[in-house]
Amino acid sequence: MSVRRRIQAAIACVAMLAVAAVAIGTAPTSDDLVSPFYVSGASGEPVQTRTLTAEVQGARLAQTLDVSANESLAFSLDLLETEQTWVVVDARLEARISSVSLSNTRLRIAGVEYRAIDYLPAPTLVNFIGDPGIPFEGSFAFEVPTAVLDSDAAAQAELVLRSILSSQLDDIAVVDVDLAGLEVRDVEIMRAAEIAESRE
Amino acid sequence: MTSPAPSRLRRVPWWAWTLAVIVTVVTVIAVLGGFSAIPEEKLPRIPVGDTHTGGELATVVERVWVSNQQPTNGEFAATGEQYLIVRARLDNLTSEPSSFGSQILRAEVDEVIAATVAPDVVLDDLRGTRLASLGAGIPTTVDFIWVIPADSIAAGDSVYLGIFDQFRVYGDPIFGDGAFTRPQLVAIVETVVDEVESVEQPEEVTF
Repeated sequence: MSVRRRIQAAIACVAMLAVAAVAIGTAPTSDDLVSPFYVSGASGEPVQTRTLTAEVQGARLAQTLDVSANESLAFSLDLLETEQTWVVVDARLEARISSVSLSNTRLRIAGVEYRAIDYLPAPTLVNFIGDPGIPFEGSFAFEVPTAVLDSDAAAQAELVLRSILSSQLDDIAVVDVDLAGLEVRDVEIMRAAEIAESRE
Repeated sequence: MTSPAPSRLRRVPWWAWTLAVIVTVVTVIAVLGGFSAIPEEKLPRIPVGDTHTGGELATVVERVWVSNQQPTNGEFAATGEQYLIVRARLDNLTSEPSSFGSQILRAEVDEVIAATVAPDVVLDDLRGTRLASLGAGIPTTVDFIWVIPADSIAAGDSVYLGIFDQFRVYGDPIFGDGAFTRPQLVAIVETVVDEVESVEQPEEVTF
């Protein structure tokens, strides 16, 4: 093999290695391959995913939650305290295809996710199972550091409506919630319930 | 026309090449320390009140005591039983809720609690509810409670507490980057029982 052919072969090898390196470097990760599809919307307007229609009706901040009807606790507890701040988000939801449970719902602020608490009086939106075509409403409650709510990021909070089941390659509704400037007061949790439909 | 004489290298038998490769590989492994004994690492000892910072949670063991009543919710132990209570402050250092809190501590008390026994209940001390998940950036006081036979532990008895940690697994074929290793023991807290508390139980009212 002539020197020229050898140089050509070496260049071809280097080029193929470079192409392979670029392909590996830009290949999607396993998380990217199966990540969910986020469907975004604003508070006060319906956000529709493959399985759910969601409308956030409002948000409130509280130092104490009234949980006097809590039947899931083995002892009497009327008020639920926090050293931080409660964020209560009220929402109206409707399953579209099959029953839906949103027990893994999160509130996302500045990239940090807070999970909806699951020890409130049943039924709350965390443990309510909604059947298709029957709208229901209620509250989610989140414990969030007070400093986070005092920051500018509170104006761009997001409610991420997730079930405990894997949401890989499925829709997830993400609703913008503005928590800036809300007054902190004692609030009562809206118990989750189906919304009665008027026959008139 | 005569064929060219075979080179010296071609006259070396195949088994000699194989042997040379094996010797080279073994030598490289030995030089890099591949055959050295793995040094035993002694687990760090964390004093009560000091912070152990793990990959997911920061842990401060605050107090160990024995009582016949659970903190906050006031639940009494059954007759012939009492509780060993370990109070710790946990802080979730990640940006997501953590459900690792109830697994982070194990206790060992000679002839009373084996190191493999999980606590009977783990309470959020502020509310007296079972610990669910720990919110990011929300330090939480947690009570780890084991049910033990009454009078089995005295004040001043030694208690060994193991602090565990778990580590993220990346690229799992099912869970992607969201999987974790099994919890591993990473530090020890050697302490003693502060006190044995006996709270008078109100008489039961029956209707």
